[in-house]
Amino acid sequence: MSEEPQEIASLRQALSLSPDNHLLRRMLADTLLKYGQLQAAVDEYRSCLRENPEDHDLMTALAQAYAKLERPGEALVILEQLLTLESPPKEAIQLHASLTGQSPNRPDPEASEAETDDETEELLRAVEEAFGEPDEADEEREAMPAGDQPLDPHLEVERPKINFDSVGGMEEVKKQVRLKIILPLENPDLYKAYGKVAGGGILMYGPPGCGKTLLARATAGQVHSRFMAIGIHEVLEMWIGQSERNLHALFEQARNSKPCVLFFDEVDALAASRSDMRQNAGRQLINQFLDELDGVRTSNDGVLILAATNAPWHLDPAFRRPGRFDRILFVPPPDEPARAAILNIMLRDKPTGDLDYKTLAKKTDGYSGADLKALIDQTIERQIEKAAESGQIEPIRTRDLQEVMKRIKPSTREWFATAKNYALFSNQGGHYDDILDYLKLR
Amino acid sequence: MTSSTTSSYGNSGRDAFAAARLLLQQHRFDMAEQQLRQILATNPQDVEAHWLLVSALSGQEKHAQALEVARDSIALAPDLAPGHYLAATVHHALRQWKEAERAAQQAHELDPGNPDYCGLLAVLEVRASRWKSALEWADRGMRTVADHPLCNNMRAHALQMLGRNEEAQSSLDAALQRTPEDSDTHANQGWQFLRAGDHRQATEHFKEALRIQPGHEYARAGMIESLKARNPIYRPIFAYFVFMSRLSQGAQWAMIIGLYLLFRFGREFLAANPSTQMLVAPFVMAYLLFVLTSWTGPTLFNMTLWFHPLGRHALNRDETFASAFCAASFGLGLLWLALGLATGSTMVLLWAAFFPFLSMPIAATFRVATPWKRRLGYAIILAFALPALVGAVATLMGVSWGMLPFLPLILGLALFSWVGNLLFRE
Repeated sequence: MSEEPQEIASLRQALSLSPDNHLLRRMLADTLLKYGQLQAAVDEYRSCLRENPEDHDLMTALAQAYAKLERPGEALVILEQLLTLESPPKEAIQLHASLTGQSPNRPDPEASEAETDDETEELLRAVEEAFGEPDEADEEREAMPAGDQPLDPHLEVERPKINFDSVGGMEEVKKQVRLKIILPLENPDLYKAYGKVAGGGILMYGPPGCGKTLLARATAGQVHSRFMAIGIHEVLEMWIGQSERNLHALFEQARNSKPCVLFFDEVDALAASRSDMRQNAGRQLINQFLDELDGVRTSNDGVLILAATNAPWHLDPAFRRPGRFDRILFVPPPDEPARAAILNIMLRDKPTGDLDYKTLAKKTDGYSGADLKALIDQTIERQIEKAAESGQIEPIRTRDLQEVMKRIKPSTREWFATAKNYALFSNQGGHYDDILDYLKLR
Repeated sequence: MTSSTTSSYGNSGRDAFAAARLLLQQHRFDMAEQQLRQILATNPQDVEAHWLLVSALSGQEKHAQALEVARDSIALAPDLAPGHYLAATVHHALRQWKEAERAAQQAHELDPGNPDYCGLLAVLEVRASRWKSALEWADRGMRTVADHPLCNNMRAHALQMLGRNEEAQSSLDAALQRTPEDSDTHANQGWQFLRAGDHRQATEHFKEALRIQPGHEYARAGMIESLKARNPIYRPIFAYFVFMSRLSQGAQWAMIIGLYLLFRFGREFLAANPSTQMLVAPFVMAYLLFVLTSWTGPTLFNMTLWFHPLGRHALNRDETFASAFCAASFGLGLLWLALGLATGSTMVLLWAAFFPFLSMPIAATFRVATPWKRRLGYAIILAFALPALVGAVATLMGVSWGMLPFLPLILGLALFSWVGNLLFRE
């Protein structure tokens, strides 16, 4: 270790003799990084980059230094830039993956705008993200410029890069979102002329794993707004901490980041029926939520509030009043063409034999997106086993998928069994007419 | 609700428990289970975490696991009542009545003032048709908490069954006033009206109960009965069941045996007297019709709900299937009756008389939920139906051995009408 300062010192000395030697500075930076002098390394890399702003290896190295300095935000900004390249450096992909906690080999979404091929990749990513790997949503998140950082750093604000084009199927729901959300935002005067006010919240409900979160994110992308997602964990923390102020801070954060889509996942956790939560002192939290939705103290202009739930019947009726979640959208499981599209996307770049997507889509009636993903995952596992035995790649064929299909029960059935009862017996105001229509009970 | 709880509340301490309780309250049982298992990973001896875990598992209908955890909690703290009480609730869910009663008694002895324990004991007594004892338990629970909903409901139920309708009604009125949004009370009120013969009011209360809690099984069953009771033919059948359900199990048996002896005696009496001999056949037929109705009436009349807008959805799969199969057995009877009349064959007519009785094992089988009883029931149905169909077709075709299965089947049915009563009771 005695060599350490020696090595650095000699490099510094050499550099002082020829300060413009790019290679030398690079070596110094690498050495500093190697010996853990991270801040110094960052400084050197940055001055290198001033000379060669397009040097991808340098950028990667700088990102690595930031990552080691535990400044992942800055690292991610650089990495995401790198990932837009046609062939991003391997290290960059790996580092990005380790920072976001996901598997590598995903190109950056931005590239997709230019190239059709990447567009499908992106769709795949979006589907996966919505249908089973919630953590991957992080990939979308951008570190905000320091000045924009809200006071309460509770929640990251992201700028979704997906839009409706990235959502397979769901045409009817998308149409509804356009009509109920996007059009009023784009043409507020038109709505005013008819005496309608833009704004208010939209509640999406339906069986789990059918793309509600994806749709919310895509909606934000579609209207080019920021996106804040509040999940069950954030909500639980609010309950446990009995901290209505946190909820207020979240709303304030959204108001400060407008235009912003504020999305509440599993909103029944927060908007639980007050009679259900009779014994819980945290009923105040529900009242606080109502207040925030109403925008009593501060206007919610420019903030679009979206919410999703699997159990709309557990929502306090007060949340359905005008100005709150007064528009309710049923998000059904993917229909046949949508299932074919999802399977097609999920099986891209996998070794496949002849695949009959039409048959597969027909046989997966009632499958949610998450079920389809489970189907593919389990099939691939089986194929890997087979390949390990035979010593050669075993392509996935229709038959393989059909065999695995027998083991995967469509998870939406259970949901519909419950939903049917609510739709039949508890359908005041026709809240659940969509379910009745879907089940063809009307 | 597939996300995993990566607990940010720690594995112990108040927050971890608060999170678990909240998840239970919000019916997020899978997440509650994860949270509790994390707590137990750090504190495997924590009794309270065990108790909550039982609820989380029960909520997911993982009864076997729940029972195991409940037993563990009893092993950790044998002198604490909640463990015994939770074990009792799991036994109840598993339809292990005796074990449930024993555990609930234990809980009650350890903590006599707790109305939940009294309520559960009242539930168990109601199930066993021991109305007086049920009333005592409910009253005992209400001495601690005067408006305990479960005890109050069990009290009203027991009072109705004891024929003390006014007291039952005032008990329900009070409950509905206090908690107008209680589905149990509405369901109970519905049954009260139904037993009293007012099916219209009953339907309204069942509707209300189902509006509040669409999965309410007791209300759903009541809804079906109240809709069927619109049919004047069904009303006396229902009245018979109400009458029988008020009796204790012993008295029910005495009733069945008494009626049978009355039938035997009556038949002998009619046969002995030449002037009444002609009445023997109608008398026997009336008795058989009564036996058949007492087995299959409710199931068969479910058919009348097939086309009712609410009724057809109120029926569950089993009920729909059972009524369809019963209808089929009666249909076969009618078909063979027509064929018998056409061919003038008495033997074909005998088969026509036999077929409707196939509905007895069918109705009984679909009423039970215990898996082995269900499987046994299917086997019995097949054992009756297959030989009957083969024999009946063979008889129709004039094959000589066609009537061979007839007598064994009749004897089998007679046996079934007694043994089945014991077996297919839950």
